[in-house]
Amino acid sequence: MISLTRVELTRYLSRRGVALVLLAGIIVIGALAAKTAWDTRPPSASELSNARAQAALAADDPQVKAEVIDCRKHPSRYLGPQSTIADCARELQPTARSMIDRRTLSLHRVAATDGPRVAVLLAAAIVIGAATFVGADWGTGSMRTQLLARPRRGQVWVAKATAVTLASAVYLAIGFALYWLVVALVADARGISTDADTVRRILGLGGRAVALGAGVGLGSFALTMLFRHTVATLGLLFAYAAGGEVLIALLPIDGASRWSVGNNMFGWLKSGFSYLDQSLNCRSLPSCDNLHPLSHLDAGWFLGVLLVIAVAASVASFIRRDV
Amino acid sequence: MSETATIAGGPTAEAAIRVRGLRKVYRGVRGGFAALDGLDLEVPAGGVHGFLGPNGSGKTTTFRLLVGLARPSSGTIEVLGHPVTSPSDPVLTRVGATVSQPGFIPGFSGRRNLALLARASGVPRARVNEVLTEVGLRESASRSYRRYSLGMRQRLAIAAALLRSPDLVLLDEPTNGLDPSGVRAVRDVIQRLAAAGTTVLLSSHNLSEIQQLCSSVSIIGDGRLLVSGPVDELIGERTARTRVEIADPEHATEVLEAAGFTVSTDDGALIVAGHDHPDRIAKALADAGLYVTDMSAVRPDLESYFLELTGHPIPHQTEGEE
Repeated sequence: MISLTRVELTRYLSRRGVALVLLAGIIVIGALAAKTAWDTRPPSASELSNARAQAALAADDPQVKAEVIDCRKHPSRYLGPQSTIADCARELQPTARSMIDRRTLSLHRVAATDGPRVAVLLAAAIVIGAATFVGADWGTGSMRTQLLARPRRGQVWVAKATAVTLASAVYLAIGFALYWLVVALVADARGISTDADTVRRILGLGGRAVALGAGVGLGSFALTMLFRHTVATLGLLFAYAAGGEVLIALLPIDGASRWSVGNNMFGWLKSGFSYLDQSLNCRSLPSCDNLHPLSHLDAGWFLGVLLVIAVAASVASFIRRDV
Repeated sequence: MSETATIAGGPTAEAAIRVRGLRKVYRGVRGGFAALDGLDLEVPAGGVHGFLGPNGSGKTTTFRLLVGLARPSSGTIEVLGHPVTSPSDPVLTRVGATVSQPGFIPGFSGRRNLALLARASGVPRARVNEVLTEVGLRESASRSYRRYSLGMRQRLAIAAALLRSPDLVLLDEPTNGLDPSGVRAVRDVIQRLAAAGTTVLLSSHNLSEIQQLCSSVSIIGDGRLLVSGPVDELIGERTARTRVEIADPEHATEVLEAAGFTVSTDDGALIVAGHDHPDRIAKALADAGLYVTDMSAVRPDLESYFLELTGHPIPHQTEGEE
């Protein structure tokens, strides 16, 4: 069985189509890392000098001056309770930094925004790669030849599934690690330190991302084994992405957005994720909140059940149907 | 056994394949279609057994059922003395087969395709080169499968079927699309396999090939067995004719029919059914004062017998049967 799994792993990784898709995923992730680095780059000397000049001009603006003076008289009215006179100058006085519309790099913030996006992008590449691999097996007649060589359908399914799942998990781990390596190197080069809590947060996200990669790889494999066609699997997923989410949101059932795959995927990845329940009509209710928190566990259960259904249907079909 | 089937020589005690009442119905939105409709088949152990039938008669379906690629709707299959009850039946590991068109990974070389199949089925790597040599593909084994000709693909499929040194080999149109040297290489392989004691079930549209290679043959039509038995027996004794050339064929016909012979004419000559008693034919004519100018045995080949049985012309095609 181990030997069969290694064969499937070799076949999976040697497929040119699969390799291209996975490589494209890494390139996109690289581009995203580069964009993160670029968008948070420190201002150059000329940018700073321009910003200083703009800040000086703005500080001379009578309206700004009047606001600062007014704020000093009533700081809590301007800036909220416990605000002091010193806060007025810091918050309202134009500075060179406030003239540059650019945030400094924060790994904590990246972990909450681009981190989950990176995982989802890599997962999309995994879905296409797994579907391409299995679809080609069916399309070329190679599946028939494999079953003639090894007439044990259960073993063949498990070996292929194990190979795809393992490769998907490793691929996501590598892609994710590469992204964070680039971001961490950039942060280090800029002298930005990272606290232990942020590192824990990134590691937790990474673990969940790897699990997601393994899951979507297995799911895509299972669906393609069921449909026996790459296009059928990708078509179904595309149709869901294009129309399914909208359909769920429009369902006249309260809480329907809880069953959106997209919401659950982000619920699994992001800590403290809340989804907007568009099906809930708050206008008719006295007190109502459309935002609902979705924990990792709840999202994981939902995605896990979907995966189990796909796997069960795929195995049953592969073992029973004619080839 | 179906009503029309004839198994010459009777059932063999040692059958490599024994099929009884095999039915395969494909379900569709417009109802079902029976590709096999109560097929009985018995392939004796050892030697090469031919498997003939017109297009759509159920040959490839039979092969797919025999190797577990498809499940029968009803009926029983016994392979090498063991009943086949599921597509994962252990006995199927002793069967090598090519079914329909060859299917390999296009981007891999022939050798790599075989090496992966060998590893998947627990066969030593050295066997890959052996089978490549056996089918005459050793020289082009490093070439990408995508660049293989149809004949080379067929040979690679045969090599894959031989990887596990099976006891039973099923070959579905193995010489289809091959050039003469390829045909010869494949025929040599088949003969070597048979000489080594492997049973080969050979489906072919080339009837002279069946006649040359096979010791026995089964002919099917409309999903049923039409006839089965040793090739010589089927095309020789059962359908032998005697061609008689004589000066007065009309009178000679009357004389022979009066003597109990079945007579027809062909291009001025008489064709008398059977070739068991040419002396009796000559004597009956001589007694009537008619003297034969030439007399010869007409042994119809498998082609004419096939045509007679199925009512179909010889199927010529290059793609998979069904």
